[in-house]
Amino acid sequence: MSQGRPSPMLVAGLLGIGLIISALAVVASTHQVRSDYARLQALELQRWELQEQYTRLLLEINTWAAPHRINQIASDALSMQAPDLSLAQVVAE
Amino acid sequence: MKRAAQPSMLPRWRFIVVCLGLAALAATLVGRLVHLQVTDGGQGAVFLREQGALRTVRTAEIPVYRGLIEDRNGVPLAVSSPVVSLWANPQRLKDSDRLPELAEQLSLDADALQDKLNFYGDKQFMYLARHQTPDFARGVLRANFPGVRGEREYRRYYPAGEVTGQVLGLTNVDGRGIAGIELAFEEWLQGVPGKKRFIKDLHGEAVRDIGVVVEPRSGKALALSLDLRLQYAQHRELQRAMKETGAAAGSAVTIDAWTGEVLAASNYPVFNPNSRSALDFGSARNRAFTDAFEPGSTVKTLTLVAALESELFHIDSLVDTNPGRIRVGAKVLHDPRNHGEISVSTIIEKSSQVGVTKLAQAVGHEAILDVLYRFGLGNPTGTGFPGERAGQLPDLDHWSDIEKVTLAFGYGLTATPIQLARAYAVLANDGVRRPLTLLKQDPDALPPGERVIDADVARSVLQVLDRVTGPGGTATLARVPGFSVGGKTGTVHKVGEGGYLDDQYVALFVGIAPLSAPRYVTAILIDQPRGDHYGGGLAAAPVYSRITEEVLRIRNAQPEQSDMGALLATSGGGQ
Repeated sequence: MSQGRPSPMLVAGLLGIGLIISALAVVASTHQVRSDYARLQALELQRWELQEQYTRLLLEINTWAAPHRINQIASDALSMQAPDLSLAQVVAE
Repeated sequence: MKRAAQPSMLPRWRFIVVCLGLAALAATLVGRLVHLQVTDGGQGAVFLREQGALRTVRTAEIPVYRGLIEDRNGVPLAVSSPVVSLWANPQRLKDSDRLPELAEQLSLDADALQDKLNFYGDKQFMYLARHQTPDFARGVLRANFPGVRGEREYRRYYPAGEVTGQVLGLTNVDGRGIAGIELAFEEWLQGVPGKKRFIKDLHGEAVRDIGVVVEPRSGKALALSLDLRLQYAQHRELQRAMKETGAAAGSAVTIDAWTGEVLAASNYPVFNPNSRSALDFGSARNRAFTDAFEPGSTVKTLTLVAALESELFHIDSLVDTNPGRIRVGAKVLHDPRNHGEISVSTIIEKSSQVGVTKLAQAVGHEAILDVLYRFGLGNPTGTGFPGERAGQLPDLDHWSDIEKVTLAFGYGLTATPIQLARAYAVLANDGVRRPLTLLKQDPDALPPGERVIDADVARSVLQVLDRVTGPGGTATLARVPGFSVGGKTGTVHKVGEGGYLDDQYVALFVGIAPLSAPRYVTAILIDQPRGDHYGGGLAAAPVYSRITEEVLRIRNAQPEQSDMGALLATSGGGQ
């Protein structure tokens, strides 16, 4: 009616459009959260499996490299022994 | 009649009233619904939401990784590995006709499983098999038995097994530390389990996760001062000595006097934390820390400190030990043979009872007690190890003559092997006492030590200890090729019913190596060695020698300069 003041119809229309946009945004972000959370869960599962593998390998390394095993192989299979001191020579720095 | 012919012509108002009435009812319901669900007012809405959540939303714990325990070189000593615990909802499983198949997969007895399910029949949770390997558990879960589920957990593995058994201790089935390092550093290792919320369906199965309520925080890694190679070598030599002497128990502990770090500690009988079914908590005890013994002649070294501090003696002062025995109160103390007039140094070298008695009588028991106290006897070593004993110093109102003297040769007080090692570490460290620790230390940020004796006194005592392992000393078997080492033996009668036992001994040796740069202190305790080789010099000193050889090799100690000429000569100028 007067200059400067938009008609109530226009305001209502704009607000209506804004409402729809924000509603769509809510839908989109909800979907985003769900798919991200699904990804997070998948990654957590993967982490769990990797950790499982890692600790298994860690334990395996340490079983193979256990001092008593090294000791046994060195003395039994390879006939090694600590050198007698008379065979040792100290190289001073 | 006109009316009867037109039944549909009911008054309009009745139709309208019925419609309005129905609409009002519907509006009331909708209004109530809107009130409860939308306008969010009052307790009704809260109540409904809670009830809804109660039926669908569950909270589950997110298991966290327990911190790794490593040795000083980063070798893992305790590792948490993911495992799966299989559980069942008895209400759903108990009537299944696939029970025999499940029992077979789990290697359980089918009847026993049925009984157990009936026993827990009104519950919704029952463990079937805890801590299964993930591969095995996946196989069982894939078969899709009704009500059978898997739960992720961690299980603690100790790669070094019995070698580090008593020091590390162990965790219980729920992953909490219950002994040793695992208990002492529980808070550091444990971490904070997380919490997540999820929606479940009618059968209690998770439909979808809603979100994480508490972020899980994994436990932190812990670097110990132990050196696994050295620990292994010490363990091996101690076991060998146990076999050779037929002893009932034994302990060995090696510390780095410069830093206060415990490098290795082993015990017999052994204990393997990996086999839970065969747990024996008696052997889980870390005897080197928890069992106090009378330290016997190893204390004579400290009596020597008191004698030197009194300035009544220096190491070459002569003391007359004729005629090889001395009467104190009602008791007569003997030397194995009459040593005659000998120096203070020789008294310790030969471990002469008469000589030490004369020293003790000259300096008085208060001075000796004071030295023992300053060397840390009667006080815990500061490692914080669970169950560590502090030993005891005598606290008497009235001292008899014999008690004043026996204190000087290590009777009437108790100490643990680790305490003895710390006391000797004071000597290796130029008279400075450091708190001991089981954690790896930064060499540039050591906790301050406390000077407890003069450096000169410490050096003089080391000279004497050098002679104990020399020709004519009581511990020639403690010598290590290529290095000079010093130490003191001890042979103590065990206490039984009715006093000291004549035929049961504890053999001790505490030594310092290498004397050119005194650093590594090892205490050996052998409880009840059998046969003729029961003394500290015969039972414990050889063990010290073999362990110290490994210590010096593993820690890269340089063979001594004085031996080098000989070394060069014997190797014929090779290479």
